[in-house]
Order: sequence, then structure tokens, then C-alpha cells
Amino acid sequence: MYQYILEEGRDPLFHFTTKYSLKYFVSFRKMNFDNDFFENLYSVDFGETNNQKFFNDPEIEVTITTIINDYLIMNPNLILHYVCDSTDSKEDFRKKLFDRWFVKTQKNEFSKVNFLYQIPQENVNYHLGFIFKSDYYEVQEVIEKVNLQLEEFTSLK
Amino acid sequence: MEKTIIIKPNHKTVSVLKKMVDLKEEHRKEVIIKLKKK
Repeated sequence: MYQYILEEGRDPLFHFTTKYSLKYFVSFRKMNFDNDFFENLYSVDFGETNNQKFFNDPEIEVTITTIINDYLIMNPNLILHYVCDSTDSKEDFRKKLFDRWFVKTQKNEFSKVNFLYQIPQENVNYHLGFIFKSDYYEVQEVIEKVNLQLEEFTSLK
Repeated sequence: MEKTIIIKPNHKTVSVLKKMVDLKEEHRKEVIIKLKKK
């Protein structure tokens, strides 16, 4: 695992440099909804700052998943979410990384909800993922609240 | 526990999803600019 730097603040930012001199970041961005349930909703994202191709370097994945894992353990009231669409060439890497991280985590410690929005006519899929501590939030409640929030957003347009 | 829900969205939901992806990209650009200044 690589040593990383944390820049604390409203939107915590982690970054590290690999042995191939690639610079990676893991960012957490607090979402601002007028919704008490999502008061601690953070959008999580990660990538390479120069959009370089991912080298076959397993330490990158270990470092990214450790950062996310540790951040959730230190802040158990958080709901992390990520969004990606299939036009993003790195979509698979990101989604698979979250999937692999989840499989490796201690059983029942975290829950994960995946919303897959399929738009066959545009040949695009959207993935909306939510990760949270199982002892803090109920899966069904998160699903209901996400659906309600999305409905609210659509009614605003 | 893991649960996957597959949805065929209407055009309004698609617009919201596109906006969410755009916001993520904007934030990503801000983060990269910030890190490149270091």
C-alpha cells in the first residue's frame, strides 16, 4: 500500500503517488440536499490526475480501498455514493473496484445498494451506488429515500 | 448485504442522472486543478 496524504476540510481529499510517478486522488464531496436523511451523504470519486492509463499495479487498488474503508469506519454515519455512466471508459474499473472492495470487507459490516438505470435506446447505462454501515442504515430505507429524492429532483425540472 | 435494483428510467430521471454525472466531472476537474498546483 502507498503512503497517502489527507487534506481535511469540508470535502476531504486524499492523494498519493505511485512508484510509476502516477498521482491518484480519492475525493469525498459533501452533498447538499434539503433532506435530513441525506445529511451525511458524500460523493466519492477517485482517479489519476493526468488521466493516465492504469498500470498493472495492485497497490493502487489496495490504497484506494483502504482509504475508503478507513474513512467509513472513522465516520460510521456516512452514506457514500458514486455515480458513473457507461460512456466513461473507466466506468468498469471504478465499479469493479467498489464491487471487489465490498466482497473483501467483513461480512455484514457494510451494505451496498446498486441502482442500474438501463437506457437501451441510447445504449447507455448509469450506475448509482450507495455504501454505508449496516448497523447505521437499513437497506430498504436507503432504497426508498433514494427513490423519493430522485422523484423530487425530477419534479423540479 | 448487497442489493441491486434495475430500473428503466423515464426521460426526466435520465436528465437528473446526466446532471449528476456532469457535477461529478466538474468536481473531478476542480480536484485535479487543485492537485496540479501543488
